[in-house]
Amino acid sequence: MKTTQDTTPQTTRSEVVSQTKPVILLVDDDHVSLMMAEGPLMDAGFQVIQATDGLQAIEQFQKYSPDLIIMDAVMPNMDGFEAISEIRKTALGVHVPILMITGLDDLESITRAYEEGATDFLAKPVNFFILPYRMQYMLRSKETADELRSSQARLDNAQRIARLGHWEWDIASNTANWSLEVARMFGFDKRLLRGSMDSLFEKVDAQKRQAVRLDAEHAVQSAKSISLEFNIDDNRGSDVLSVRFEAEPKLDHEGNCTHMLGTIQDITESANARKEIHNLAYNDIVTGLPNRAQLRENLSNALKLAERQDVQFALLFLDLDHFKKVNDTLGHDAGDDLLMQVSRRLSSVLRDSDILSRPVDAPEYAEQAFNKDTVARIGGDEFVVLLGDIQAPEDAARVAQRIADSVSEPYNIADVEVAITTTIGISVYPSDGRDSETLMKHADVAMYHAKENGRNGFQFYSRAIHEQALSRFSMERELKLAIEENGLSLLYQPKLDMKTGLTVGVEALTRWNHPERGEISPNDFIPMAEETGLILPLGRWVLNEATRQIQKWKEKGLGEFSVAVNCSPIQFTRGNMIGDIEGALKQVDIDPSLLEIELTENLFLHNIENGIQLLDNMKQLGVQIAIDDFGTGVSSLSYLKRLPVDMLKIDRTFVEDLHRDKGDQAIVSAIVTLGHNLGLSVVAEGVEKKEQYEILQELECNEVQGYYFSYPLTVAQFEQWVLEQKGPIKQVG
Amino acid sequence: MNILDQSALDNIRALQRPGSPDLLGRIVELFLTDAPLGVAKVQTAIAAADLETVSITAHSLKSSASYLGATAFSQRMAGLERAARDEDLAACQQLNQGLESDCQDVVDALLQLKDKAA
Repeated sequence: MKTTQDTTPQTTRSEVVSQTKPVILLVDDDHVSLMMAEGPLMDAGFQVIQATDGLQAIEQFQKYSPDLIIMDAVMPNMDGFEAISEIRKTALGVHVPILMITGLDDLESITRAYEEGATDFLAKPVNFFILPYRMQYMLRSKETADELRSSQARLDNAQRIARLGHWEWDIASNTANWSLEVARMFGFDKRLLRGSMDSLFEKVDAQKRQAVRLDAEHAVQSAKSISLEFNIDDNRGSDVLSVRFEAEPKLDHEGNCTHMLGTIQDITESANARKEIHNLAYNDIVTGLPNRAQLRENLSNALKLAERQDVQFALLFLDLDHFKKVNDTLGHDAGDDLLMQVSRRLSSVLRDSDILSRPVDAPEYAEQAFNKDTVARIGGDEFVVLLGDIQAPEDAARVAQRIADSVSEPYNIADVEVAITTTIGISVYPSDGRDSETLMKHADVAMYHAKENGRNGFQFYSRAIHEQALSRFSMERELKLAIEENGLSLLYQPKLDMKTGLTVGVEALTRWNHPERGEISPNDFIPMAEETGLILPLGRWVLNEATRQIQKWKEKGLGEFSVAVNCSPIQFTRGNMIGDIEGALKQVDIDPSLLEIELTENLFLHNIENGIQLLDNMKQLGVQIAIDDFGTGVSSLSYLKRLPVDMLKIDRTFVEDLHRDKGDQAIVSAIVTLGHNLGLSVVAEGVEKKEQYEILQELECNEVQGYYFSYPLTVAQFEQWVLEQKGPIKQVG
Repeated sequence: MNILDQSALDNIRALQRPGSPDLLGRIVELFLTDAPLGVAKVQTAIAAADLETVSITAHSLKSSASYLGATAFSQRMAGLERAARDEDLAACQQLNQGLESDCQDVVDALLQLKDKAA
């Protein structure tokens, strides 16, 4: 149909359109419809703009940005569907309400209208009396929607400014929706503001993730509010966010928690500020070490812990001898540089000492112990080292000696070589004091005593402790010397074959003949060797000596005797056991199966798989493996068949009362049967009496060892024994 | 049967705003000009088998006619629109027979109405 009147306004909105009246864009190619609709709409207070096809509608829309649109579906040039779709693509057209006019019962058109973005539809023929009411309703809902959007936008803005987001968790469906700011913080798609609560939890940093999850679930179950702080594990590569997470339950009329409502606030800045404040308050600016305040706190924690766990700890007070001279001659910058280097050495000594000086049953222990220690700079050239957990005062002595040694190594300060020493005073909890102040004072006093006795050394506050620690400490050094300079020897206790009565091998036992103190029992020096790490060179020495002895006996024509060597778990966990055995075998020309490695079940306590791997590697070297003290460990029998071992040594406690305790007999019998069924040889040690021997024979134990046959012998004694014996079992001693 | 449905005309009269130009008169004028042109356009399009033009023109005439109460004419247009959309040329040709006289009836009735009002 041709247009008979020009409906296209040539003016702009401000001229044509009233500022107060809402504007409707009326689009229809049928002029009759246009003419009929216009009047009622104007009567209802609308301003009407017209268009007769889709293209014109878009033009008019862009020109006047009307408040509402009435759009006919079928039109030439561009139909209503396409026009809606185009209008929706523009910024202003996203939310404008559009009423689509469709043919009666034209379901397909209605569906399509909604698909393209129509707000509502009206079927032809249009009732023009009702149309204005319809439009007023649409206008009102548009205004409500606008208001909602703008209040949503205000909320989003407020939340963005406050770095605060909110969320709601529907417990039944385990779904959640959240605000824009939450999406920003968690790096989620900003168009999809919902998902599972788990997708939020998954972003919590790994350390706290499980705890946060459990806390939240607990809050749901107990219908309680929670407040948590954690970091968001940010995979966008930017800085990690710290957030505070608050939640409160929403209850139904029965008091069940149906929803959790909560907020998440980005507190990165305040958390960083807090950290910064803490750093300033608790760290020394020059060295970065903890300062006096931090030391006081750590010391008070150490006191509480020590009291509760009934352990000792030590406080080392040290200053640098003649530090003032460095400052005066080289300047304050050089002085600061020196302090910094000293502090680095102190930290490094502490780290290394921990690994060596602490018992090593559990690998994680060293880490824990280190966390209990503190190196603090408390002013000028004064440092304090808190050793949070020591077994004995000599541990502190050891660390003090290492500190003194390390600090006295030369420094390079501004291309000048500088030498300095330190003097250390030590107080020990609880013997030197039970509170921070006393311990600090006594460590300080001890330092002054040390200075009087000549610098570059350490001194305990208590003379008795000092002497005891020094004596133990010197024993360590002497043991080290003994290992290095062949001050140890091996004794050999014969092992006899039960059937033939012949000596088939020996167990090697370490003896330390101290030049001044005489013979020192392994019970005294082996634990010390384990604590100090000296067990590693000691173990190596024993392996080397044992294999050399096998070779010597073989060369002498005395026979091929197996030598059993006891090994400490520390040699396996800390040392290179395989390398040590390999080294010992390499220096001689013997059948490797003559070397027996004795180890205890505790080796498998922590990691059975590692243990099996280790034994497999040992077996590949051809040595025999025996489980020592069998029956006393906390082992489970189930692993036994998986271990590539050759021998079980029954613990001596079962042998001791064998002849008068039915229970022990039963146990030994069981061990022998078990061993045999697994194809293992069974050895009894600590046999002291004829009756014990006879029972063991009856039980078909394979080998025996003990005072009943022979004490541990020197090489010469053993050789004599072999020559004399070479026949049926004889009693000695 | 009346060519024009009186209630439809009353509807238009009821839409008349006081002080505005005569709505019914303007619609009648518009239809008197547009309808014969539209019919001619439909017939040419049928002859040329241009069914898209048939459909869109018939759609528009259908709507105008129905508001004026020209029921028979409107229904014929509706039929044409549907047939054209279904691409049924034979049906279009059949509906074309009597189209001109239908249109003429409406024009005559409208002219009568105009005379009465004058």
